[in-house]
Amino acid sequence: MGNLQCKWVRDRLPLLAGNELRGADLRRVERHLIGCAPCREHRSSLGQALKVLHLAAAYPPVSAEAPSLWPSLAQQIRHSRPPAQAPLFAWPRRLGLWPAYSFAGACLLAIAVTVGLRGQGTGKQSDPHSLNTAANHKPAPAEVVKQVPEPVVASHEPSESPEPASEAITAFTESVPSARIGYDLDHTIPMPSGRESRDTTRQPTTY
Amino acid sequence: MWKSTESYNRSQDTEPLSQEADPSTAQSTEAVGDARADERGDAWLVEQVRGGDDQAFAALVARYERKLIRVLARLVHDEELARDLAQETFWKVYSRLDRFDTSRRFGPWLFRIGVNLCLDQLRRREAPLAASIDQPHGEGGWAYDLPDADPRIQAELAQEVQFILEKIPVPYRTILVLRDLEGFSSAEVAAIVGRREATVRWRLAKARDAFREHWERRLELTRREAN
Repeated sequence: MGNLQCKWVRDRLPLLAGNELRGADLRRVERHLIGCAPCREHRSSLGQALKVLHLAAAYPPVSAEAPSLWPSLAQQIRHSRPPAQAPLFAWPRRLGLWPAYSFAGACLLAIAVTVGLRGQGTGKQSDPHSLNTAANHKPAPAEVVKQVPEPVVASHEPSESPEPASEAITAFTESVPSARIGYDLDHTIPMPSGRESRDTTRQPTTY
Repeated sequence: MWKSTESYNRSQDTEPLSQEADPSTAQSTEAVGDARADERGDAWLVEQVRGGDDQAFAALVARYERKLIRVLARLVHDEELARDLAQETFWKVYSRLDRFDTSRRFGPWLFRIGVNLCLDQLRRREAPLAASIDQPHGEGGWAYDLPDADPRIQAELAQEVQFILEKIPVPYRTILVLRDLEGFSSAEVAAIVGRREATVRWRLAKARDAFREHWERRLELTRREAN
């Protein structure tokens, strides 16, 4: 019975040595220690061991001048982040499609240029002023001249040209409607002298 | 084993997290107040880090790195290894910060990650550990009897304590280091090792008794060799 009591008390003596025993357990242990010398000796040796531990705790296991971990941690954090990229070009590069993206862009550019060139050629053929005969077909500079001539008319006078509104504007045609131009560049129509009245009934000259 | 464990646990249920041995003193109250201010500071810093402020994480590192390295060094007995483990700990913490519940305390969570990394490292070591805490081994002797204020003696004492700690099984050694060498409260130790406080106290008692037994054995061997 005494041994059981001593065992129960000795199981709690380490907590008593660290001042961590409370309440009923504390009172029971202290009552036992009054009459048990071996348990008192056990408590004393535990107190010595804890003193040694606390002395060792005061001695730091690492040097006080050790450098901080932050510089290497900061570098690790920086390396873990992906580099900043322009959003427009981020996704193809991320997918490794940048070469394909560049090739596709070059193809689109070539197609656009081709369509543009064809459109200019189509625009020349559809010009109402040069459609009459093949004989009217002249080299490029002459075609520009051919498409321009229109008599001087009031701006509100209706144009007699077949389809002036549908005329394609290309590099070889004037951007200004021919009805507004008052003289002929091929010199087949005399230059106006400036004394003509603005006769709205006058019919425009057609070619 | 513990016949009055339940009553003991009930008496400790209202114990504050950072309660020291005598909570009635003004110093203990002030320490508790400072600890709570630090908790609020940690929570604010964590929120700042989540918002992309790396300098807030630098502040957390500066606040905890020395103690973390010290704890790990006491467990692995290697300062360089302790620094590596500490850096790995902070990196893991940074990676998991978005999942951290700011209602919990940051410190115990940080040390828990660090101690677990340390325990993994100790398991990988080939050095044999003590089979049982109830079977201490006494090897060699050491001419030391009473604590001495001489720094050289203190350094030798610290070295001897480290030698004895290696003979104690890791689960008990960890609690002894955290509680008696680094001064964490029982509640904080429980949060770090992920056990109930009653389990921590039981293991702490066993660890202290094992340390005492090793220490007495070494003193006995030293006296026999001296005689």
